[in-house]
Amino acid sequence: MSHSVLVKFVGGLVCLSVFSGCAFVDQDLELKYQAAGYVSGADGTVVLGEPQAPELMAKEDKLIIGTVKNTYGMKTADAVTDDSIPDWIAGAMASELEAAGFTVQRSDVASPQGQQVVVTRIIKVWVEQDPGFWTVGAITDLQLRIMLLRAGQTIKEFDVDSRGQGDRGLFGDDDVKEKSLRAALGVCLQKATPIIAETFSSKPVTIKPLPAADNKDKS
Amino acid sequence: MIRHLLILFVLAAGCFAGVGCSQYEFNDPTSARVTMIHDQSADPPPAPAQTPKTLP
Repeated sequence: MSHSVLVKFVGGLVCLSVFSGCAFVDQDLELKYQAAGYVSGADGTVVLGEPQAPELMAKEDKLIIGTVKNTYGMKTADAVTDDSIPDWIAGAMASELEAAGFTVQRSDVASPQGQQVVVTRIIKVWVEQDPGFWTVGAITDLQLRIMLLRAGQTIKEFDVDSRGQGDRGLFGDDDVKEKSLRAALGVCLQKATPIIAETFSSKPVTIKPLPAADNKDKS
Repeated sequence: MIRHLLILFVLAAGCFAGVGCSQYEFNDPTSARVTMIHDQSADPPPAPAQTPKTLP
């Protein structure tokens, strides 16, 4: 082996070890949700206000909602989305409430008029890459404040703090982060939907005992 | 003898590290917590104003 070949070989090995697992390109995430049906047997009409979104940094018309890291835990890029976060949350809430049995009217204002109203404020939504020893995952922090109003009066107000991890993989690609976001929203609505249903339904509701992160593997 | 012990020690440490890492990685943090701030739904409706009774 000549000297120049040896230098190239060693140089390649050094580059491989230094840059292995690095992702320098932003990951564009798609915000999706599929209703799990945590509650059934509810009745009545619920007006769903447009959730108020937190202040997030923007990057080329996309919102930054998380980080991409290398195997050493250093941030190398951003996780961004051009989907609407309020739309994602409201759509998921509406689908769970409809699955519960409510007639849902979505409003485009934060605090709409109505007999039974749900007002939501998104306090935090953030997905962080979780580089492990063997696999790469993502953990989402999602915090919502939900207010339930009857005839204009706030009758219940509560916070739901949830953390979600989807399936881990060999690479921390966008799919891992999307599953993590869905898992966090799924477990959040698993807690919130029964409270809303028990408050607004005139009939007793049935709460289904489902596994925690039912939205992990659904695409 | 000492060499064998050293090899055994390194193997055992590797096993412990592997098991520890896998437990850490597969410990699913998915969970949610509800904090109730305000709950008036269980309160009884306000009682109607009592009218003063007049004695005969």
